[in-house]
Amino acid sequence: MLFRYLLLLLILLPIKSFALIEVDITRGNLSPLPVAVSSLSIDQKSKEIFKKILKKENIGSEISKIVENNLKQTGLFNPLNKDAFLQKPEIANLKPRFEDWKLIKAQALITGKVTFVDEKLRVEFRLWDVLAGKEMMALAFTTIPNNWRRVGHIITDKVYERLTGEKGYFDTRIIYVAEEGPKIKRIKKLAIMDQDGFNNKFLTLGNELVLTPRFNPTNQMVTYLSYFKNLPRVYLLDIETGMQEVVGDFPGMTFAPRFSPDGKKIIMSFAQDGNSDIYTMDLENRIVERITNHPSIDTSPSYSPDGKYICFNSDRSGYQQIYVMESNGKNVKRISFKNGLYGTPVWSPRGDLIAFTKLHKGKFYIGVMRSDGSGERLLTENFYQEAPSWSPNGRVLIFYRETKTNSKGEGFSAKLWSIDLTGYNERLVETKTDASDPSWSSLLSN
Amino acid sequence: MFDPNNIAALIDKSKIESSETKNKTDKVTQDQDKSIDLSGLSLSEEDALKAQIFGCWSIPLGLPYNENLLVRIKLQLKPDGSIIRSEILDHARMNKPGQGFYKVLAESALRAIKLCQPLRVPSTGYERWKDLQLNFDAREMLEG
Repeated sequence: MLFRYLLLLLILLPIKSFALIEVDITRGNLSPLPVAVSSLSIDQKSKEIFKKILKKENIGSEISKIVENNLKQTGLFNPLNKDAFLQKPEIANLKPRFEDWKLIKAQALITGKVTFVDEKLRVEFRLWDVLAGKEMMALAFTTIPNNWRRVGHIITDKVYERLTGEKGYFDTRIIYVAEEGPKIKRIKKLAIMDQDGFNNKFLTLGNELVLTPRFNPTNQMVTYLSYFKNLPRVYLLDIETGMQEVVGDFPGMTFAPRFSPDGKKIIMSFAQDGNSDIYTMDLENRIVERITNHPSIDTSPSYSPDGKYICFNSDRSGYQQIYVMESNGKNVKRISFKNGLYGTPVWSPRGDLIAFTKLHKGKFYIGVMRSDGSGERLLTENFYQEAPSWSPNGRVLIFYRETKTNSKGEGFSAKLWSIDLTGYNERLVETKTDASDPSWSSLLSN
Repeated sequence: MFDPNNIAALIDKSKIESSETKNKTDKVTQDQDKSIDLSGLSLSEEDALKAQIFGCWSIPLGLPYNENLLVRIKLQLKPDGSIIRSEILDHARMNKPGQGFYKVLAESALRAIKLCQPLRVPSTGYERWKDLQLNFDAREMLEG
């Protein structure tokens, strides 16, 4: 009876309840995420062996420096000064004392271990969420010792993906035109390097002028343009074997050969009967197909990542602008409409944006717009810059920039630069010589 | 017939309706305004809490800015503002294919809460705010 009474009382009595309070957090801190990259720990025996093989005092510390440098270059992370670290690498890798890492304001921690196993380099690494006090990722790689730089890049790719939600771009290479000598008598060679500027290698001798090298989707092959006896030729080069092959001699001015996303075709422009149009060549049967047929100058074609569309530039409206068409040449639509001349359009590997060079009032800009032409954003402005190429995750662009010469014709230089989509993180990409026409590979470890 | 796909539609609808109600209450008179003060945080209380979390939240800059970047986290708090429990309301989305960025965003929001705690909560009225929902939305910042 009493129970019933109490139940009735509970139902009938007004209960004071509060609606759930919601607070909208629409702002945050855009400064780079503080990350502690601890040196990879290494046992004494392995240390001695690697010192002998790789001529590096402490390979664990060298690999961690690569990770640290890569993360810093992104502008998204702030690797903390190692002098402030309270925990030794070998202990941190087993069980981090999160309080110590919180004290130095680290939000993420990378630890790891290097060992010499069966003539190989074995690297284990772990990514920790310092504030949650938990492991976010743990991976191990085994490879030949000479691949130690690549291991650093692969670790960075994994960390970057786990912390940003998108694939990295560190285990990649850049092919470019290395330039030396005075401006009027430049020697131009094809060169390739890791994305951080290391392992630079020249691929041609510099006897002939080389232009516009472009990777194919598998990274093994490069297509580029070279002049032989003053005639333009399109070449294919196998980077690993060094084997080179002439794809064809084409009439008149030939420009910017580039692979289709499946690697089966090359798309380019050349001038037949004095009129520059866009053509493709099937690499298997060498059949050339005309894609545009217009009395204007059509150049710089680039496929969308699904291969269904092509963007290119054309002066068919009277001024050089960017156009998009279906890959069979149908439904040509102009997409650039703002003031200035637009050129070198390149479709992002993500498919969402098209990067371009723009000339307006005597200044050159590198910018991006959506594939329908909306949302144009100019990322960087300079005296002369062009030829953007996308990182494989579609977040960073590499391009080249030339400096003005003085009245005596001195002071000319050409350098590679990178900029991310925010437009804030602009960096010089170090090269041994002057450099132009860069092309970024896709991820090597894919 | 029960259609599980329709639940999402119902939730979305209720959200729109509640926001419409909120818009209507924007026009209340001073007398009515008292009830709002009783059930929610005052503007200054809300501002203090927001300012604290703004400073703690490192927005992952690599997020795609054209996606839905809203993470809702429900908190259960102690009277001193420290956290008893935190729950991501759209947890299922974290493991959906193609939503890797959402997991990254949700983790960054959880880190912000942990970094900030104890939260700057009012010194009185614990019953009012012991359960609190924070809606982290990165769109405004990333579209910038």
